[in-house]
Amino acid sequence: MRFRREKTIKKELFKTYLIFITLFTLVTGVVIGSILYHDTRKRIYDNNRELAISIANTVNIYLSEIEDAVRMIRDNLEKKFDQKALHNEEVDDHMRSMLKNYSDIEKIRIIDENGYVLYVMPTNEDEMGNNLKNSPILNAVTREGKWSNVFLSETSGNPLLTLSMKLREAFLIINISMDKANGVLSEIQRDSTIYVFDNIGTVVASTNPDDVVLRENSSNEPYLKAALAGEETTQRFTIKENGKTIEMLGTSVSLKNNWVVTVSKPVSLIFDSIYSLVFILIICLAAILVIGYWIMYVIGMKIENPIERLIAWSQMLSKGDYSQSNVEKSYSELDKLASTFSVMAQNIENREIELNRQKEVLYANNEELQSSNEETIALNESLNESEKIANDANKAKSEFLANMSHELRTPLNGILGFGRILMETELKPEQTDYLSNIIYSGERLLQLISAILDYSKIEAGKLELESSATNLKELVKRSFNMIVPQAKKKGLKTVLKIKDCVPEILYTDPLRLNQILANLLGNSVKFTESGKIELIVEVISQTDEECKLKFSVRDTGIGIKKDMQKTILQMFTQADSSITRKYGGSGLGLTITNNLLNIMNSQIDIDSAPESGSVFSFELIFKKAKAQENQFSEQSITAVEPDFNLKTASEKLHIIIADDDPISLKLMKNILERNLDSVSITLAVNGQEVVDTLKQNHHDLIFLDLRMPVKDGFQVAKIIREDLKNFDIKIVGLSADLQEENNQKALDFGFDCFITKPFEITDILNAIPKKP
Amino acid sequence: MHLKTKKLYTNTEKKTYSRGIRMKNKGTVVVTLIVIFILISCTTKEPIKIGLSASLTGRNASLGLDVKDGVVFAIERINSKGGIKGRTIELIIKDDKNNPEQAQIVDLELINEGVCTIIGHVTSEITHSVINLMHENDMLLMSPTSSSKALAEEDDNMISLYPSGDGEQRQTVSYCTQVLEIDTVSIILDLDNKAFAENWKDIFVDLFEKSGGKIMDIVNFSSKQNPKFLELVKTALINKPQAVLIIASSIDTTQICQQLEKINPNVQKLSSGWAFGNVLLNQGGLSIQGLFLTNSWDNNSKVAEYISFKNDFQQRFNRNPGFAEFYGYETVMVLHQALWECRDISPLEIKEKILEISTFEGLQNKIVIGPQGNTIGSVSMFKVVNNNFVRVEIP
Repeated sequence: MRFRREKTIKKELFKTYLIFITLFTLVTGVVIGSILYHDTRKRIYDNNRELAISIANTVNIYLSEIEDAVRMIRDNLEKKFDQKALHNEEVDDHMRSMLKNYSDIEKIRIIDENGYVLYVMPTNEDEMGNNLKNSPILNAVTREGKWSNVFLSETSGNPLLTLSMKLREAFLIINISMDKANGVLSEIQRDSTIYVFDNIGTVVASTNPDDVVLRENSSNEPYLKAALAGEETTQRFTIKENGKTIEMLGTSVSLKNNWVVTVSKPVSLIFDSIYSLVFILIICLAAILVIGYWIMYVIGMKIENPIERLIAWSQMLSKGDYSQSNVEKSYSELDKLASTFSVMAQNIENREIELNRQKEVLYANNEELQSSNEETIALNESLNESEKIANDANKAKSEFLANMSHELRTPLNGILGFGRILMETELKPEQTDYLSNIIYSGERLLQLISAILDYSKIEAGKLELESSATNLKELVKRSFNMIVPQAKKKGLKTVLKIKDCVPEILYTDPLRLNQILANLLGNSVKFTESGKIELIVEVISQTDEECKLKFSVRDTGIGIKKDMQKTILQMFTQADSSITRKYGGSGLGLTITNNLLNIMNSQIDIDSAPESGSVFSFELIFKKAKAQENQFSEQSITAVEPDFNLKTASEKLHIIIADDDPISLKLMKNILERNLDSVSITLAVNGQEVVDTLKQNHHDLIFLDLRMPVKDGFQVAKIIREDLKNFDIKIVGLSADLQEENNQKALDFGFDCFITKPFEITDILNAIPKKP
Repeated sequence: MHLKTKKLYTNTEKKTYSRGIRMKNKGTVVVTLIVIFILISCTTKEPIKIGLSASLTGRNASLGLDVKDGVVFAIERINSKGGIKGRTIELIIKDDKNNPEQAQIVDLELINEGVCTIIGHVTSEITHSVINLMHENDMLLMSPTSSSKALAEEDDNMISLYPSGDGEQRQTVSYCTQVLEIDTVSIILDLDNKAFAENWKDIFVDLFEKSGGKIMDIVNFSSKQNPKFLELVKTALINKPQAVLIIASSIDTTQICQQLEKINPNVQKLSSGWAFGNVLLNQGGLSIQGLFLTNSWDNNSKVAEYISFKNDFQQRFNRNPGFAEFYGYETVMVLHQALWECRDISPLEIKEKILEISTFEGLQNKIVIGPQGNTIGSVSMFKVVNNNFVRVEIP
């Protein structure tokens, strides 16, 4: 599990400080170290070089002194002494004094041109007469002198050099010990290593005498090669000292006789000062860190303490303690914060006091509200109960109306059905008149029932409009034509004016628009005794999408008083009771029409005056149909005539009629037998009988009443389609129930079509499948 | 002293180096340096330590110093070619001061410092004095110049590169009797190198007397005690020998020759191979002209390897190599071949390996080492003519 580290001011201060100081120290250290390194190296270079040149000068002087001394001997020998009579006290004294004055001179010899030793000082009998011909010390000797390489003394075994000078007829050979020179070198510079090399790279003198004794030869070393070639050089090289390899930095300088002086120092000396600096830096860094940490700690505490007190104070505030805290004076920002905090605490306290006061008021108000609320709740409950009762009552009323409608329509179906059949029989004119009155009365009763049912639907808000592409002009014409016979019968003139600009195809509910127009036109015919009935359709406005039309029904009837114009739109209201008596009617027509228009977002406008006729108009907005939607159905408003002669159908039809009402059964059987030549009809009074019959025989068509005992029409249709898997038979639903949900339910259960009672004979005949 | 040199950076090189560093990621550089350091630490092998113990100071130091130069030159050559299986040779030099006690001390120091072989000593006397020490410490001693019958016959931890046996004496006796027709010889010998000198003298006397010769006088001296060479020579010439045989170092031989030349320039001077060297030529003058002496080394050899060696040596030291440098060099080369073939570098294994190989390629001839660790080689007679060692044939 990972925890996020707590970030505090103190930590941040210390971290920042640490990073800064470390970086600062490192950068400073590197810069100073670099400068120091280069400076020290240069210093050592320069020191080495100066020392080397100084030693070279010293050695040169030393050699010159010896050479001068030897020249003096040479000159004395040539001027004062007879070389053939060397062995005398004067010569010996001179030579002894020379040896005494020049302690480096170990031996003085005079050798003749054949190599024989003529004179030796200090005296050595053995050596006298020795022959040194072929010795390198006699080779290429000049008058100015020639230095030999290092060799071992034949007497002492110590390394020595000779300086040979040519005399007129002999050679002056001086042996020079390097002991003193080595001692002098050691004293010159203790921390430097100094070598004097001869012209073949053999150590002649050194601060380390062993190198001379061991006849070390470094002629293969690059630094010496360059110097032997006469070039001053500074290089790094390694030496072995007491078994350890030491890296040196040395400067080599040539001497006048092709010897070389090399002065070197350990490279580590360069770094010693760097290491010292690093050590000092580390100490300083540690000291700065400690002091800095302490300073940061103090500053941190100075910041942290007031903040801590502020935090404690804020915690007190959060617990509701508004007493002022004593925060010590600190940095001005924090003092300002504390001061602001104090003001804030005071404000909060004041606000809280105010809030408490208001709270108490609110509590009091709340109690009142609570009691008021309880009353409201009780009232609500009462209202809900009342609403429920009203709804139940309304529902009961709707159910009652529906049942009543059904129960009235069923006998009406019988009355009208058999009336129409009877009308087709031969009757006396008097009987025909009576029968016509019966059928007319039945139709009026049917209309009244339908109107009541419509109204009840509208009132219950259950009436739903459909919208389909409709040929408006045709619809208007047909609605208008329906009243033409009746108007003509009363001697009225009929005029239909449809403006040309009225679009043909529009979206509307054709059934309800037809109902509205028929109602208004019917009313006009009804209340007009003479004159004319006029229907005008005109365009108010239109766009690409929509079209607003105005429908006006104008008559020359009895007219309506101004004060009655609103009243007549209310339910069961006519202009006055005399009208009811004179013209009859339920007073529902205009109310339903106006309600239908209300649903369509419109209303009836009445322009009328008594005895001056009336104009009933309304405006409707229609949605325009697009080109592909111009195919529309007029089925619902068109009485379809059979398109073939049922009587001549060759193949026999097997039809079942199922209805629990024996009169309906008899009526259906009568209609079918009268209109079909070849038909086999089976009657059933309940659903089970239908199922049993279908299990035994094939049938083409079944007229199935929805409300039946044992099994209703829906159950039978389901059994036929799902259990019996009979999809060939056509199922036509019959019902006196006008509730529209039955239509959809019937289709869902497998019905092919649906006919409401009371039906027209043509409705039955249209439902019969067309067989060739 | 100076084994390795580092070149200083020039300014341009320094700048390039700095730029290179800046261009790379610092972390990568640090890691790379650490890895390189670790790799170098892992791959850097310990050097093989070899000791050199010889007389490097005093009157007779020239032989030791010459051997030292030969040894140093050989090791420089080996190291410059990558050493032995990646291991360089580290030479630790000690001065025995031509003193047996000192020789034991320095040899013990070398043993304690972990050398695998001691090259030395240069005189048979000193060599003889440390034989037991070598045996006790299982240390191998390889002497470039020591030669005595006593050493050759012992089964010890010593390999002698200078041919031992009686070759020198036989050559000298044969030349005296057959060519020079010398019948009487006096002998001057340095007893400071008794093991060599007496052995040499004894064999010579035996052979010479068997050949009908007569030893007139035998004069001993100690080179450490400032001998009076004139007196020595006078003593040696008392009975008027036809020849004087000198068994001494080159510097002492020179001095004796000088005195002989002064007293009796006609007496034939003879010498053992001990005196062979540049000191003799440089300081002998006319007194050494006509001196006969033996050696197995031929300065005028035309063998390509030797000429190459001679030239390189001359370039390195600005002088010609003598026989001591030659044997110092060959000793290291024999050791070098044995070390290459040793699995475990230990003194005794090296010894076994040398004896197993037994025949090595020398600069002039094949070096054949016998089972006792002594070299079996031919010895030639040389005469100093015009200050040069000229080989002479015995008819």
